[in-house]
Amino acid sequence: MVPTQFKNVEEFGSVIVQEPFLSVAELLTNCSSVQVNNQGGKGATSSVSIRGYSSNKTNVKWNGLSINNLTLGMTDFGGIQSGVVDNISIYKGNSVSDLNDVSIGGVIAMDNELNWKDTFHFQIGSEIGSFGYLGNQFKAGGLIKGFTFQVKSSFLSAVNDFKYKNHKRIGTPNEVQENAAYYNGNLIFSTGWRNKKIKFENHTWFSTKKVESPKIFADSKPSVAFYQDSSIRSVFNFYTPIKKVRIKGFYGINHERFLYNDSLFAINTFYVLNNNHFNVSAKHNLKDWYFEYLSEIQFQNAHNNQFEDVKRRVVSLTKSRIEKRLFKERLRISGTGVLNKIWRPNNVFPGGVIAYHFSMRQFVFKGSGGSHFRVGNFDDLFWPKGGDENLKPEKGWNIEQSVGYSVVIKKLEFKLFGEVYNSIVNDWIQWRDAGEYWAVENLKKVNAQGGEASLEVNFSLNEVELNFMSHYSLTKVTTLESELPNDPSIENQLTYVPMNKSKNRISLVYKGFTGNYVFNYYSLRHTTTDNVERKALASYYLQDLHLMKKWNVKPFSIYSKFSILNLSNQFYEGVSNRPMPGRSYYFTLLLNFS
Amino acid sequence: MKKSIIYLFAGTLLLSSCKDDEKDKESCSKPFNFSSGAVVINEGAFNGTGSLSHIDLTTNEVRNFIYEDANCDVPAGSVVQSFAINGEKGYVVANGSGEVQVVNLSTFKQEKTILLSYPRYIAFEGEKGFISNGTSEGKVFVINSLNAVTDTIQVATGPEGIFASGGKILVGCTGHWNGDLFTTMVDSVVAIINPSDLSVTNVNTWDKPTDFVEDKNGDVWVSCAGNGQYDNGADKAPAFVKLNVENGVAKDTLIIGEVGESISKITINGSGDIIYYYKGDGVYRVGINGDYINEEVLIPGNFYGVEVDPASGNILTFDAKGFSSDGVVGRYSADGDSITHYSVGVAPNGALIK
Repeated sequence: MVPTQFKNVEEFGSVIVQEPFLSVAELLTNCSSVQVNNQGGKGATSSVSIRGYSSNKTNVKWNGLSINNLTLGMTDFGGIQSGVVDNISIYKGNSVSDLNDVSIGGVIAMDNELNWKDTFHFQIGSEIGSFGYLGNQFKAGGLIKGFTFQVKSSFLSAVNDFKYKNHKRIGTPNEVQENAAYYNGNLIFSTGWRNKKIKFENHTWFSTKKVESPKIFADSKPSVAFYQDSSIRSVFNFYTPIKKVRIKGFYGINHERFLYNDSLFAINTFYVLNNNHFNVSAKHNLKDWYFEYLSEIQFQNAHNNQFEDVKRRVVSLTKSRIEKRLFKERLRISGTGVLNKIWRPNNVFPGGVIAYHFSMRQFVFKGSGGSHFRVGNFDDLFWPKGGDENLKPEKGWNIEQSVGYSVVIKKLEFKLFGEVYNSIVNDWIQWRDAGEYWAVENLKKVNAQGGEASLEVNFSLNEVELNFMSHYSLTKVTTLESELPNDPSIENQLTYVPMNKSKNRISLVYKGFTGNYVFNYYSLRHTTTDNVERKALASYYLQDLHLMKKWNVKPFSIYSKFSILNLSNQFYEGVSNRPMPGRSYYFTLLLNFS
Repeated sequence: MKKSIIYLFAGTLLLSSCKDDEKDKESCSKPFNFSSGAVVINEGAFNGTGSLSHIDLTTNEVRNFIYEDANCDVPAGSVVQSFAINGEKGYVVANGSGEVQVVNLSTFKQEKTILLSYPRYIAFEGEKGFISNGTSEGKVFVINSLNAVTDTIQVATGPEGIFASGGKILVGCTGHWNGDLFTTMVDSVVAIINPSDLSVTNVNTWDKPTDFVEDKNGDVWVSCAGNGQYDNGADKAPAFVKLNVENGVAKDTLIIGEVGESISKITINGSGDIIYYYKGDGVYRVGINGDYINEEVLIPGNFYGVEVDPASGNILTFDAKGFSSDGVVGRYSADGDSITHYSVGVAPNGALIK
């Protein structure tokens, strides 16, 4: 459960193995420091923000393929179950230079990994829960003479007919959520073949979901709106060494179809998005010197019924990284240079990151400074009225410093981690009221600064294992300068970013039983740019309880889990005006064969 | 020690789950008596709820959240579009949540909720109230003195502004959005409703008739937004149409801008001879005899509404400030000289002045 924060990247593969029915949004909520804004019950729209930056600044990759919605910029994590992938990683701040990407805030990477060891394995499981929730997963794979394959599927649905007390209507009536159902399905085929020289991989996956727009607190009637989002994605990887250089070739296509319908207001928006990725990368080391090179090009196009024609854009990224390892690899110093080229709007953006990583006894120090960059999404550039094809990209810089310390005292293991960061985004893209219509502009200079600290304690005695993890984040995101006259957001906290949040977990393992108690706290979140207290969402805490048991009857293993979410039936608003479910119960049963 | 932990845990659960959410209406309510001044309509932020503010135009004191204060912090609804009064009752129209809250003007306490589809504006004639429904269905709902919906009148699509004059009810039908064609199917009809038999007479005016004022001669001036880039049909500049309500005749049309510009809400001074309106660059005025027609902008700015205090002749402007923070009401003399500014709720679009 504990993120590997001493590394540059937080990884959650071990969590997925244990709890494949956790949605990606739930996993990130409970196990990472990122902020997840959920708009309702199971499967409801969930967006992720890293270090306080809005969700369209968080790049999301699935098997190396960029899956951010081209028109809106953000990714909706609602309903995606973590079990459909094998690993999820978070790259924050300058650590994105470790990845084939340039981003403000960070990158969330989801990956399917081929199993080159087991001859045959399968997993089948179901989860049922409150408010008409049902989930099913199936996974099977094997290895035959250098050929490996894996199939994963998940199908989920929820009615989300939870009860809530409506504090925003006279008499605080008890109401039942309506028009809040969702359905989500994923089917993933992964295949690979290798010999001593080369390796091929392919991942092809289909995703579809339908999400109804739930009733908000102030609504007198349920909404009739819904959206449907379907995609087919495929990536091909090719690996081969040429002398001592490891070469990787990549091609990926992301084809997505989206429909939003609201019959009350005769709104019917649909779009078809295509993103073709090609890249080639190379790695090589010469004694203590490590070299990496990457060149990527993306051909993107969008057909939206609100655009006049098909809009196209080409984005390229070239990256070179060099690292020197000193003192028996205790000190690593790296420099990364990137060159982004965008056609339409025509922009060239050079950038770079300098970083170090130093370990000394129980201490690990790391720090970096670098530039970051984000180009507007298709709506920003091409929306018929108010979009601007000549919009400048957002760009700025980020510095960060962290220290980790670990020590073992008898049966107790302590891990401490602290990090501070400071970043600037210039030419912040924002839509503004331009009188006759809304228009997008590069309006602001925004500063995000903050710190994160975590403590992990592990204790084991005979058959008892105890783990405690506590994580605290301080996030301050403010407007420093603005093109708007008397902009009320100056020096005020960005909306929906809690200044303080804390995530805590206690785990107890005894004779195959595991109990987890989770306590998360979020401070007040403003909903207005001038930070009017009365319009802010109140701080809240959530408690969850999970009880798990695993039985091993070789070659099978059976895993069961009983969860109570929102144990104290807490009333809270994740997003303004959106009712959230109260206490809910879930039961999971999973059968593994390996 | 073990027991302590169990008790602590159980206590936490107990405290949090046994919170009494029911609020004592009497103790939490802070009544507001609306006897004079301006009640400002604040639509509210996206995904948020609207509010009402009060400005005492004599002392310049502002009180925000008057509805929430009177109703134990319960908001009036999402996207508060308009506010009207009839006798001792006030009507808060929230189009986002699809309801009209009826309040007692001496306390501002909610007395009744009228549930309707997308209500926009309300006007009264006799004992009947008429509420425009801004959708493509083209309906006007009729309520009686008990605030119950008694009838539905069919008019042209997209009814918006609604106005009582000469014993009749006038409804501006602006057209409706066609999601498949991605265009507004523009209408130009003003429906004149006879309150006694609910019969409708349609008068063709100009594209998108939106708001109304009555001048000192009893003529009604209709603001028409015109036909823009994303509207179906030929482009048209905004215009005023002068109506004789009694015989249902459009007497005159006054084009007041260029193609691509737009107007919406209008207001008239206390003596009924100067109309104020706003475009993208600020507030303008026009005399009922054509005075000031070529005048430069009177109050520059980006406004979301304009009103006139009939007593002082002062102009009130409404600046929504990006729709995500508190808005600003500006107070100006009739000649456009700044007097003062007031901070109100999010996205103010106008006011009712008594």
